[in-house]
Amino acid sequence: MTILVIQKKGQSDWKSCQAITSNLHQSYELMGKSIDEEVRTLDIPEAITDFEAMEIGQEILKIRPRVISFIDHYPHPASIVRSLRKLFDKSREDAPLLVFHIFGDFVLNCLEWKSIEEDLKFFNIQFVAASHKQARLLNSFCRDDRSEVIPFPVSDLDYFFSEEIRIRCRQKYNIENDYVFLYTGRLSYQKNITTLLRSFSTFVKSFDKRAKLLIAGPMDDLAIPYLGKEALPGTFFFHWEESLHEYGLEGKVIYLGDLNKEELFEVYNGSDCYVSLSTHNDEDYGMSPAEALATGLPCVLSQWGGFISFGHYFPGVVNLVEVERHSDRNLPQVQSAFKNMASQFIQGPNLKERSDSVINIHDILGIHAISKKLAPICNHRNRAHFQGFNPRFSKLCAQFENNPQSPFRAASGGYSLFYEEVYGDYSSRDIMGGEK
Amino acid sequence: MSENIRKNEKKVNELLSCYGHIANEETALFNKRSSWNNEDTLDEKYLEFLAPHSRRYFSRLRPLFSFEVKSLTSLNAFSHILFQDGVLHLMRFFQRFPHPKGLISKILIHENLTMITPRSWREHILYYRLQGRENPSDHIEKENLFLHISFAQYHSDERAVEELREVLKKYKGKVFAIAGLNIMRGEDYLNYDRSYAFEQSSMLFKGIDVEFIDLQKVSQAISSFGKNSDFLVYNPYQYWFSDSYLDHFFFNLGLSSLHVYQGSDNFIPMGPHHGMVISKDGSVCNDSATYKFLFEDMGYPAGELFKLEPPVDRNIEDYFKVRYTSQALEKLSFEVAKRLRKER
Repeated sequence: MTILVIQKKGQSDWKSCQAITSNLHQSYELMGKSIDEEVRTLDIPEAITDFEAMEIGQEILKIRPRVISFIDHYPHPASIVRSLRKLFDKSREDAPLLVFHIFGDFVLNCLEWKSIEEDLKFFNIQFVAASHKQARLLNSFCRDDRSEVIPFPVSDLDYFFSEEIRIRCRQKYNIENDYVFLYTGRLSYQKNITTLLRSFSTFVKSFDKRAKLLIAGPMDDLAIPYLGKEALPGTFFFHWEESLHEYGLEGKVIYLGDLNKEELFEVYNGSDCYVSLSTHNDEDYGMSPAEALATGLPCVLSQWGGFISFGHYFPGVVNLVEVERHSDRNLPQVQSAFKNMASQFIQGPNLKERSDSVINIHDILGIHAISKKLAPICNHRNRAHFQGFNPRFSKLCAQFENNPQSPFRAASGGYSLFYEEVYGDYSSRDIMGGEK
Repeated sequence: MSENIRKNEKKVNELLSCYGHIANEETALFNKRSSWNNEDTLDEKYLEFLAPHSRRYFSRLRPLFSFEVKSLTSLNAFSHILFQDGVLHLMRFFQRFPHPKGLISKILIHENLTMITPRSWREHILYYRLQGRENPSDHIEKENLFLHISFAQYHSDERAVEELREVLKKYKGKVFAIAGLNIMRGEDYLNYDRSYAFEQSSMLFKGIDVEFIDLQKVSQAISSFGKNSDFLVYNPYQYWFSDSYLDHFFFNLGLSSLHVYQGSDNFIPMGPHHGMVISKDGSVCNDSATYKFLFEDMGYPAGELFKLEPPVDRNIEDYFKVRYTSQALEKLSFEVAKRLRKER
């Protein structure tokens, strides 16, 4: 029997997705070995026509996989699913289980999903969400609960704690005597970087001047696409400069640029606390905090989306910052962020505890750990076929169809009430229910 | 360090108001182009021709091309503006406006084009150049190169291509080429000779292992090769532009540049890896051969020859009919551009 894993040919443009797909692939291979089943990979081009999708479908038919798992965020599986439906139309009993690992663009791609609703009903399918909130989001659009939670894996070999690397890093950046906060990931309006700077500034002024904030990642000018708000290239840097100036943080904030895997490994080890205050609607997981956690780094994260799952898995290591609504936006409470940062500072770095926590963290997020979680998904045979999407999903699709440039924009210009309805659960700490 | 940054900002503000609330408000207004400078057919034609160099980007220095200026006094809403122009459009601008009558703003032009500045304008002009933030002492020789090359009339010639070829040969690793053929909308169907593009390309890349990529694919290539790569936006004569969006694009992707860091005085950061240096005094040299040729021999900018340049008609909507510069001015500008390069 064969499990077929489908991914995009060549690397993704999104750094986090590069790691996710590669790690998922490794997890599947390990899983295959453990259940004595062949795992094959199919690399498909970034953009495929329906004709090419039919050819790919024919290729898949020859392989006769029991399970087909889509592990990349691009291209959308719609054309492949359509071609598979045509090919298995007369032999439904032979149709494979389709597993879709969902990235942060499910809502963004709702029209593509809607276009294959009838095809999906033909198959036994499984959505795999990376976090509890994402699973709830997906289930909120389906007539039946179709989502399991399996975090995106982090490479245990690439991210772990090393005291030697820590010392080397702190010497390199001349931060031996500082308490070091770290943010890694995109620097974007979507990630509330200004709020992070403000919180850090409050910490420094109120608490300790020997703290540093290291920041690593590419700057981008993606503004708020869901509101149709765009920014010219270079705008983010302008606001970044203004913020550093306004909060008096020149010299306290060290921008490291866009780092590669090895350099990130170094700074995770060299830092004392990872901080992210993102309330981006597509923050369904958080590969950066996941990698930070894999090195045992304590985290201060906004109580939002995928981050809440980290708080659930690692309550002693992850501290959640409450999120509140400011007019129509969800923003982390600056005071809460400051308090959490202060609390971490007071506790101080505990390297032994950090080193010990890594084992537990790898047991939940590591490639090996995830490979064990994949087996039951692939063996899940006797489910009812997909019942389809619900009317709420149809309404979501209509927003994108009518206003592709600003699907969640209210008449007043801010976020619509429907946006609040879709993402309203994202700030609640409870991973099972929706109550705050 | 913050002391040095504040000091530099203060120094910059002595030359032009770049920082502070009023400056930020002006910059925000500048970027709302439709509110003060509606794009017409002429703008569209030339911006499209110059793409991707003409793509808009955010800067405290407020960049635009001078052909977008409809009236001189409209610029008075801003303390300063930066012209992205190359030789051709800058010469046309000074021909249109030989005196800064009614203008109170400062205009920044590239320091390599100082020699084109008429005397009447000098009080209103500041000069800029692009600069990386990497300290020369930290610079490591890179193995790979990301090269953007535009093929357009007057953009380069055989001599410049030969020089570029020598630059390419120095790279031991990969050369990624992003190539563009710039053609004016409305004239694209005309039977102009475009063989120069293929001849120059053939001459440039013969025997060199080059990988042609799309601008969209650059980020992907950089994730594998970026740390060990330089970039070059090929612009030997600065004929069509001096400031390109692409320079900022590549800098912001973290690539090294051949625009080396030369000092931090009057440096305005544009991104984490680069910025612009501004200065009050360009390199005007009244003894320069180019200066004499242009101002004395040709009577630039208001002499008889330049009066023959047709007035700008911004009411024409037909792309084929709208034209900003005459062929005569275009040829003369190329001659000037070559002379300027020789003198540098």
